[in-house]
Amino acid sequence: MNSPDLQRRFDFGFVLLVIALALVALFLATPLESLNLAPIIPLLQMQGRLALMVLWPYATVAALGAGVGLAELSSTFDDYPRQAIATRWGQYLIWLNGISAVLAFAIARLYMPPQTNELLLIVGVGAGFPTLIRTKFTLAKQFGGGDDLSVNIGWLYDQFQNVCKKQIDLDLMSYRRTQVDRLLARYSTVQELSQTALYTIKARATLTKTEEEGRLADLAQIVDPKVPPELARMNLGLLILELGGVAYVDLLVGAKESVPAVAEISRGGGEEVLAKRLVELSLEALESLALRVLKQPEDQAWVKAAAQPAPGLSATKQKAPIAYYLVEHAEPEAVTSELETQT
Amino acid sequence: MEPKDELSSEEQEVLVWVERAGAVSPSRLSAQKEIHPTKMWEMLEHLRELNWVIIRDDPDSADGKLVIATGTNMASQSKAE
Repeated sequence: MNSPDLQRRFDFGFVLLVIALALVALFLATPLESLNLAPIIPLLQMQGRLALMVLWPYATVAALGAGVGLAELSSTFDDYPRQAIATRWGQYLIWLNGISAVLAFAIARLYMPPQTNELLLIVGVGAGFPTLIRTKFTLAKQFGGGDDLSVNIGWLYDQFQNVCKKQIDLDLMSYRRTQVDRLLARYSTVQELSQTALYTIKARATLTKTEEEGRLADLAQIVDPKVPPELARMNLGLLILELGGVAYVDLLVGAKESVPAVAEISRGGGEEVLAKRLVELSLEALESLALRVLKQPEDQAWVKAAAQPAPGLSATKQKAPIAYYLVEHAEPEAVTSELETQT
Repeated sequence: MEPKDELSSEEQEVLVWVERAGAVSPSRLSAQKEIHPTKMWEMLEHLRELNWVIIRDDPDSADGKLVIATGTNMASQSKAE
């Protein structure tokens, strides 16, 4: 299954189910007898009504059983409930719960006396059977601990549930990775990702102070100087996804996509590239270029001061502030033009 | 712990600037604040020692470095228990 489509798949399936149920309800409820329609249509409606009368107890029991499966999935994968439901193994689990409840109801109906209240039977089996298959009965408890004598009715279900959980987890892992990759494709630098992560932590209104401090500590660990940039980027992407969810990642990616490329270049991206090119010059050449481009005396004074010999500071650390100063205080076109003349 | 207890007013100003930016190149910070690179690096090292900021390698910035706010000051100011 294609993991990026999990959310879309859930939304599509849900909408389709609602529309199908609404159409069936509308068809069965509309009085068609008085209308001049082909005889097959009122006949079909009558057959449908009869089928509904017979099948509604089964449908209700199936819905109750499936509801328990849905609740189980939502609580186990509470960060990605819709995506977990949309996975193939998530659907197997829901179907298993629904079908097994229907089978249990059919058996119960067969052996129950005819005067049994059907509504009670439906609720009893619909809610009781899922509970029963998850139950472990302890018959005898050993003194002082040890293995108790017990009957685990839910053993088989436990095994199946474990398989489902593992498979869903694998699907969600691929899904998370896809979301992180989408984010990293648009926010490629540690700087952008750190800024976004910090903003996200601050923007989360429901985080308590302790939780916020915990998240800030996580962020500090991720951007620790010992962590290589690539790993830091990945973990920052994952942190943002965990903090904001898939919808937030969609919003961030969409926001980046809507920024016109030219505007992006004239802002941070272009400035960074230009500053990097300027740093490749020698200190003397950079100072000379800056003094030619910057006309204001205070700008020239700052550049001259920054270019003074600075013991203990590497050439890059001395040149980069001048380069940034230049791109921030002069027109990019003028700087580029001077740079091209110089090189 | 309040930053004013242990930081100069200039360092506090730089810290606020870094926290507003979230993450910024130290050299860009030096240019934006119009502080001499040597002095800026001294202040950032002091802030790093006090755990207000993290300085790490960054292949995408012109000086190859990135200063990131730890957010400690922001957390203490923005929310109450």
